[in-house]
Amino acid sequence: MKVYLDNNRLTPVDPQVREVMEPFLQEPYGDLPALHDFGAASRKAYNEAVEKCYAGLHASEKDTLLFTSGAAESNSTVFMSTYTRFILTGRKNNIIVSEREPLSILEMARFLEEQGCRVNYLPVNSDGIVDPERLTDYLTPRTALVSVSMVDGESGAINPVEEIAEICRRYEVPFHTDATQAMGRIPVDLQRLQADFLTFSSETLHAPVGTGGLFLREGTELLPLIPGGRMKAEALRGGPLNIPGIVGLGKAMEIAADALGFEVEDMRDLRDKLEEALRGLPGVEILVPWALRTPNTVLAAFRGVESESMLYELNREGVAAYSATVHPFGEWRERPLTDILGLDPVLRHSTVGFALNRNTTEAEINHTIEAIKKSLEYLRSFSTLDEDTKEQA
Amino acid sequence: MSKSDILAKSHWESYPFKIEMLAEKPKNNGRLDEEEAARLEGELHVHDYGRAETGMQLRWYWVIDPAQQRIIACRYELFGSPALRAAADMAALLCRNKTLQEAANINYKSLEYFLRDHPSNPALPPEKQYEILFVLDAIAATVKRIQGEEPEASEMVCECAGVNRIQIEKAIRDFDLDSIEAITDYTRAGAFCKSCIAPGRGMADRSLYLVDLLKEIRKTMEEEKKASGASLSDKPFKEMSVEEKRAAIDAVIDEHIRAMLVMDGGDMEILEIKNNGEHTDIYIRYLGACSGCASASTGTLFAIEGILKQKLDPNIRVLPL
Repeated sequence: MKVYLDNNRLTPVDPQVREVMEPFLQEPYGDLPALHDFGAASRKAYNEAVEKCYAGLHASEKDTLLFTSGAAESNSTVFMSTYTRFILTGRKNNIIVSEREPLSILEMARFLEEQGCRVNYLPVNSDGIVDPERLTDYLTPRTALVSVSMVDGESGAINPVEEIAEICRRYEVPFHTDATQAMGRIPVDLQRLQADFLTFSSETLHAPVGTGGLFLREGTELLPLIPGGRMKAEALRGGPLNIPGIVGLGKAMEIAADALGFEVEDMRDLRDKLEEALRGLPGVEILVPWALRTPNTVLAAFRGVESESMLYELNREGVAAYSATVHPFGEWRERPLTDILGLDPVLRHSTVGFALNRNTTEAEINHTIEAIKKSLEYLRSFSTLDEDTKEQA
Repeated sequence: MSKSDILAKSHWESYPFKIEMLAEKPKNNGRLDEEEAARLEGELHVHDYGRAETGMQLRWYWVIDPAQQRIIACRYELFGSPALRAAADMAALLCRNKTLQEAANINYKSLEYFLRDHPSNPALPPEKQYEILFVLDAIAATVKRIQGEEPEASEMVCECAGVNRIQIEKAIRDFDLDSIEAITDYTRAGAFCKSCIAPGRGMADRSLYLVDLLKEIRKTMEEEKKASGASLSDKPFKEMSVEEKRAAIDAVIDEHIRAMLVMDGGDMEILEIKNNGEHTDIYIRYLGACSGCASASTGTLFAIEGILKQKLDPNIRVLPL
């Protein structure tokens, strides 16, 4: 049995999403500004998708949505625009990001730092979330942007972005949040969340990877990262829009909004079942409190077992999971997550995460639990875990 | 960047069959106890190397014959990736029936070649080389401790990976590394928080940075090279003296031929090199499994001769004795 539990990275495409995209993959379709009938058909589908995206996020009519190629592009657009408008002109000299932001934002922050901008990394507390109180320590009149992602992609920790947005509003500082990992798992409501920029992406919404979006609150200005739009919808991002992708994204957004409170609750029950089984195993710690986590994620630390070897054993059993350990190559992290959460340093390289999607079945979870037990027993049989701990375990 | 960087690959898929086999079904894992040691009439030595905090830990269980200082049984327990498991398993196999000194002399090439499927394909991708080095370091450290020596004290350069100055210096020298990425590939230093790479990366200020260390060691290496004179001359093979020819032939054998022979448990040595008119005659002797092998005077010989002809001079003749 093959079980895919790496859904914080990529989700499988929903059959309904594929269905609405299929006409665009099989038959000719027109570009959006084209005057002919093919263009008109595309415009109709595109407009429906736009409506669904606005509805899915409860965005107001006055907010602006621009479609991008994904979360990384949306994030970069916000940061580069902030850089060009405020930092480069010398009007502002500081940005604040949380230390557990996605890689695209951390790299952007590093770029700005190299350009002479002061970057503050907002620490996350021992629950794995950003403490809104701490934000006021860093805010200055010359802060150009605050960016805190809604959900941590590895641990599933939900940041209190509504409170952070409120503080930013009070200090009149633009606030950006990356909601990629939150979409389809927890409600994202732009009426309640006073964010100036909100990033989302298709890959966590059961739509094909490669389409994303950026919401701008009414009155927020943005300079395009890619200039060259031919029509108003393209003014903030040049190049022909990815029509099949956007149509799929719109449908995915609609399904995700409907699933909240239904399939998502079933998913939560299955996740809880898995979590309970993990808690019952000796020498296993669950990272981030239950109440502060998205309903699809459980991140555990297995004492005495290295992450990659655990992933290798699980993979042999057909279970795809992920690890949140400091990954040795290409990634940049200040502190390992386990250290932040105040766990024993020997657990640094022992984390394995399981991220469900709303189509995960009970049989799959049962298989996963068995696979975890089997792998754990095997790996611990020749692990360097000392005798006392082994007996406890 | 080039096409090979753009192609998607992961190290799991590129593991050779041997590593996959050893990672899936390790044969020497587990522990040895006093009972087992008594049965084998040896002393049990248990030594740890590395720490779980830095991601790799290896515990050797060696039963040693006290009279001959020979390892008669070898097992291990570990905390580490599947590739480390495979490397440790192969190393445990290689250590068996070796004296302590022989075990300490197992070098990178011999362990790495045993993990290869094919002599010309490296066992592990560059970014995973540190797993093999870690196993070798663990053997060397264990031998030292059994012989009662203390490990040399050295300044810690990368705390996240637990790599000290001596290890980095050794890697730079042994593998002729000339970039930070290469150091990270071979030692894992600078792979995690990155604050040890250069000033300004990461939050913590440090006293020793990899960029400075690399520059310093490369400089001493250059000076040493100048002092010792050029070891391999740039002259065409024909004009070389016999001594220079020997050095050139040795280099080719080490790089291209020995691996092939060692894979099958054999080896070779050069007895004499003679200039015979326009030909260069190389007299060799086969060692280990090669001596007495049926193909030693046919296929293997032609392969050795072919490689030397191609790499050095078409007028080379190889004569086995």
